[in-house]
Amino acid sequence: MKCQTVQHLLDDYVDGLLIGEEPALVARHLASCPDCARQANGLRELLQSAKALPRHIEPHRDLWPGIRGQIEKGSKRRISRAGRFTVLALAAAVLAILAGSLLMLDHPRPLNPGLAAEAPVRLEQEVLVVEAEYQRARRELVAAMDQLPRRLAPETRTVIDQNLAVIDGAIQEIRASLEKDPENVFLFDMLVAEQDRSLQLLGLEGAITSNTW
Amino acid sequence: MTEPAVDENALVTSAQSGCLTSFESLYRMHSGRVHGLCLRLTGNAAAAEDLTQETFIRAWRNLGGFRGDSSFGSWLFRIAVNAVAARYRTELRRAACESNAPARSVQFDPTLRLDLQEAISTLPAGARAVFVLHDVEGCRHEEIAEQLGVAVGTSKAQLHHARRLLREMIQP
Ligand SMILES: [Zn+2]
Repeated sequence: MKCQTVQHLLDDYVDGLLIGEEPALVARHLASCPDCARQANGLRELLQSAKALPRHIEPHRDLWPGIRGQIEKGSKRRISRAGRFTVLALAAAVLAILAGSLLMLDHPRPLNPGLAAEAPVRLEQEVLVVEAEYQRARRELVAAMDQLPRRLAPETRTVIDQNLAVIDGAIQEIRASLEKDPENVFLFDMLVAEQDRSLQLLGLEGAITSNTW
Repeated sequence: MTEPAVDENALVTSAQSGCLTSFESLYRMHSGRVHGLCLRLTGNAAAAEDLTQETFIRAWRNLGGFRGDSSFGSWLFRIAVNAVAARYRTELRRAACESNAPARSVQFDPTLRLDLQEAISTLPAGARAVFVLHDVEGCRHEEIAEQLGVAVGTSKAQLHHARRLLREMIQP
């Protein structure tokens, strides 16, 4: 075997990944070539040092308060999200009454009411719940607005619709990223934030429409 | 005096039903291991703290999905690697693209011998992640490839690259 071949095989040799007659051929070369033998020994030394590195390294500060804070904020966020949907559903109901229709709205599903630390929920499941609530709130707002006579200035409406389209695009992108990385808490928070913006805009549109009526 | 053995399974069950105090005990038992892993994988103290927190927050959110098929520690390990991989995805992808290109040499002063710990932290992200997972943590290339979302060949190439750079840095 040539030095170049041996050095190419050295990683797999020390990792025990060579098969057939290769390990014996490499070993025979190493026994007779000081240069390659030095390479092999250097590599083994490196691997020994790597194995000896401590695996446990305590952080310099206690990270638990931050973790607990995030977990508790998560439960508050879920509760306030339930509140948000209630308010928006009520707003939609008011719009519906103003429009003289008897559009019936479901009560939003109560989400872990009043829990300091609720039982853990899989993020994927939570995404599904949040999505369903968002879609329903959006449908209800749109339906309620459709009952109102439209007196919104066309240019105002265009601006709102353009903004809605931008937010919808962002929501699509975040959904696609979440599909690839379903447990990414930050993507999830972004999704909720964009959905909030979308519903706020829809609510605003409804409010402006009903005021000018 | 011997400490009463803490029953990790009981803590997990209790945390799964929503007990934050039990989850804190699990954090105390595993924080050093998770933080050590994040610190080695990132080579950055601030990022390691951040990712350690993220790992435990993700773990809390996903506790319902922990069935005890593996130990709680190795379940946390995978969450931590996923969290790091998600954060460094762009760098890891770029590293994967570069693995076929001629290896760049890292800028370092050859008269300055780094210790292994420091040297690892100066590696490019992809090479560092593969070296830490393979040579420090003892993972197989197949596992690494799956966790980092790269090909097995890329993992091998990155390991070769990392070992060469490290030897240049720490061995006379
Ligand atoms: Zn040779």
